[in-house]
This record gives sequence, C-alpha cells and structure tokens, in this order.
Amino acid sequence: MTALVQHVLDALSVGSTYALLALGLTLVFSVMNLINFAYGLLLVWGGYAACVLVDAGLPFALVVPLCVLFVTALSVVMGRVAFRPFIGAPQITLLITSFGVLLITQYIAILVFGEKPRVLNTPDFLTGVIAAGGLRVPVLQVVTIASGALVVAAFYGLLHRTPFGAHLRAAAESPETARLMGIRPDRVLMIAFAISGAIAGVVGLLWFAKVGAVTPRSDMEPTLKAFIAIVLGGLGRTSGAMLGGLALGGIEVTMNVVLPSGAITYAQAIVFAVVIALLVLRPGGLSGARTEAA
Amino acid sequence: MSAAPVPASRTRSPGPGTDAPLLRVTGAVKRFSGLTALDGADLALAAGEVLGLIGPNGSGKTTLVNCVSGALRIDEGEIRLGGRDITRASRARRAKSGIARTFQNLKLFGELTVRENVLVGLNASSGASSLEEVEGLLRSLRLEEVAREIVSTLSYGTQRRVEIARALAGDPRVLLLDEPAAGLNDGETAELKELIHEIRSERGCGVLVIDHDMNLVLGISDRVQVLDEGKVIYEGAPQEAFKQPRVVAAYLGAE
Repeated sequence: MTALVQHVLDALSVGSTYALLALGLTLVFSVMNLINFAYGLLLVWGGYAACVLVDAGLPFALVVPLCVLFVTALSVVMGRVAFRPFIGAPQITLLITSFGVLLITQYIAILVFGEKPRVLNTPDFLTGVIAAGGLRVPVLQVVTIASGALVVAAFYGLLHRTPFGAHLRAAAESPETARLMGIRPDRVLMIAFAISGAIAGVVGLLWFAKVGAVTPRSDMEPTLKAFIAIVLGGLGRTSGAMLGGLALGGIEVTMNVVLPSGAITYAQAIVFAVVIALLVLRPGGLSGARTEAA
Repeated sequence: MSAAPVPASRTRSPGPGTDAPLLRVTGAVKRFSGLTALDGADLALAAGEVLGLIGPNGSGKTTLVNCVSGALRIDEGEIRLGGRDITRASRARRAKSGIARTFQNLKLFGELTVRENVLVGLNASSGASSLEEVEGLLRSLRLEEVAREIVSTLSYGTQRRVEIARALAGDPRVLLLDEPAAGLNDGETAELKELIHEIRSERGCGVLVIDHDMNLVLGISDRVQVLDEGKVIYEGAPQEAFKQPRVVAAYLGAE
C-alpha cells in the first residue's frame, strides 16, 4: 500500500512537470500553429540564470521570481523577433524558424557557459525528505506537485475567467473572425509567449532542481516530453496537454515499476511504444476531439 | 420580442456634415479574376434607418457587405463612415470605428460560452459597452439563461441571436445583417423582425439587412436597394420595388 502511494506520488510529480511543459508549448501552438522546438532552450536559459544567481549569493526566494521574469522576457523577445513576423506563414516556415532559433540560442549558451554541465546548487530544504507513516516523500516532489496545481489553476482562471482568456481562445479558434472583432492576433500571440515563458521559467527551475545540473543540450528531453504530451493529449487543447502530461508521467512511472530490472534500459523505448499504441487507438489524442487539427 | 428593450446606445457627437448619411459607398467596383461582382454600386445609410439590400443570387449583395466590413477591399470607389474615408482602413479599424456585422454562415466562436462571445464583441469597438450593458443585451435577446452554455451546443436560432448580440456589444453605428433569417423558423423570424425594429429605434444605429425572405426585408426596411449584376437597379420605397419592371426582370431572369 505504501509502495503504491509512493508510486502515485512519483507519477503525479513527473506528470505535473510534463503537464506544465506541455501547457507552455501548446499555448503558443493554439494561437499560431507553431510547435516551438526552441521551447526547451527557455528552460535551459532559466536553469543557467538560476545557477548564476545562486552562485552570486542571492537568496533562493529571490532567485525564483527573477528566473521566471527572465525566462518570460526571453520568451517574449523570441516571439517578437523570430515568430511574430511569420503570423499566418505555412507551418513548415514556422518549423524551420523554430529550429533556427533553437540552434542560435543553443550555440550562444555553449559560447557563454561551455559544454560542461553547470551544477545548480539548490537550498538544503529542497533536497530534504518528509517521512510520514512509512512514506518518504522528497520535498521537491511536494513542491513540484503543488507548483503544478497552482500554475494549472492560475492558467485555467486566466483562460476562462478573464476577457483576455476569451480573446485568446477566440483567436485560437478562428483568427479571421477574431480580427473582425478587433482582436489583434499579434498582440494575443505576444501575451501567449509571455505566459508560455512564465510557465517555462517555473518548470525549468523544477526540472533542473531535480536533475541537478544544466548543459546547453539539456533542452532535448523536456521539449520531447512536452511534444509527446501534447500529441498524446490531443494537439491544440490545453486540457488535452495537461491530461497528456499526467498520462505520460503515469506511463513512465508504471514502466519503471513493472518492468524487470533487465528491461529498465529500454524503458523510454517502451514508453514511446505505449504512446504510439494509444495514438493508434485514439488518433485524436486522449482528449478525443479535433482529430483534424493534427 | 416581448423582452426588455435593447439598451440604448450612448449619445454620440454627430460626425462632420450631420446631414450626410452615416455610411456612404460611392461607385464601388470589385472584380474577382475576370468576374465583376460590384460594378459601380452606391449605397447610403442614415443613422436610425433600416435599409434592405435585395437582389437575385450572385448580384453582389454579400460582396458589398464584405467590402463595407473590410473583409474585402474595393478596386475602385470610396467608402465613408460619418464623413471619414475608410476605403483603405483595416477590418479591425472599421470594427473600432463602429461597423459590426453578422454572417450568412454563422461565424461564432463555437468553443466559447454565449457570454464570452458577446464579451469578445465588446472588444470590437472603441466606444464599447460596459459589462452591465452586456448583461442587458443578453437579457433583451433572451440569452440570459444560456449565457454560460458553450455556443456550439445551442440551436441554430439561438446562435443567430448570439451573433446579433455579439455584433451589438461593440455598440456599433452601422450594423450589417447578412441573411439574419436564414435557417430560422417563422416564429423566430417574427422575433427577429421585432428585434431589428428595437435596435433601430432604441440604439439609433443604421441597419443594413440582406435576406432572401422578402416578407422580412420588405416588412422591416425603411428603404430598399436592389442589386443586379453588381449595379443598383432600384432604390426607394419597399412597396414600390416589385412594381419596377427592371426589378421583376432581374428576379425572373435569375430563375
């Protein structure tokens, strides 16, 4: 029983990280049909910013908001410079642009920080473990699940309880009609980049706090996981992205538990096989609808 | 419609040249690769007036509406709103200066709620209504009860009303209704008639109506204009329109 609770907590923690990643990626996709493959670099730069600020002796309570702000600003600049000029351009143009941005920002990171991993020194309390009734829960896991829930709640509130949320969903559903209503898709896009950046800032801190070190190529895994999560959940739907992220976390943790120790090496491959099998069964993703959007 | 009156539009300062019509289109020409959809069409709409735009299929009615709303640009001619030249203005700009429309094929945001659709319309005009006015609009269009419903789940007739509410939310000076009665039953069409009357009398905006339902158009319009092959062939009293041999010929020819 204790083991099961432990696994559920693991799944929730991994799942909320993926859900947040997917949310940030899908938000821009829903407005612009852009899968931004440079998204993971936002996390990397956030990670480096955290390393620099921590090493400079800033208290962690200050490092967190500064990093989130920095990544938000970076995301807006990225959106403004590289993507806004291509509103309405074919998807292949956007894809190539995003790879271009990925390479440029990655090589700048290599130039500035080098290829070697840079250690992120997190405060002691984050590496602690809460022991309760036979359970041993890492503090970071609790923080991750709590941040996930908080960000999702804030995001849902923003999307469904504010005029901006209505504008964003209107622009995502039909940019043409939205324009007729006087909504400027370029402005909506910039705000989407800002929110996506803020989410990337939060999830980047969680990610690198867990991994412990940043390299210029640490972007690959989070981008890939976010991409899988949004495809799994149903492309273009924020609820689907969250569902896909949680499901992917669940599948991963389950594989780690049920696979014999000899097969653990192949865990990722098996996870992908399960995801492919799920997509064969439900081509529109877990959230069902909008198969045509894919 | 027996419900509460449509909230009145706020008073506006009259634009330059108060006796000039609110909306004036002069000599509009629109060509689509060889086909001339509008061939020097004129149009004048005064504040507080309902103008019916009729004509056989393909006569250019919707094209003219699209050119006024900014969905299309005219190749020649001029469009003025309240004396200001808006011929080259963007759709968003025109929406802000007070032109709102509904569509032949509904263009609602199907995944948004009724209230959200109307709120999005609020954004369209710089003289936008307040949130209370949005609630008033929902009430007067009998949309209060479905305000929180997702639009795509509602009946067609209700969706038509949502579209009109969304167009009115921006407190427009000119309201373009492209086939508002399409897909409505008789009861709903009768309600629509009353609604258009209320909009005209209580909000004082100019209303341009295109519809195939002649009873509706001739019944609600102060004036009608008949288009045929992109040209205006009649302009005047609704009752007189079908006494004109040219108008009759245009319709019979189209059969």
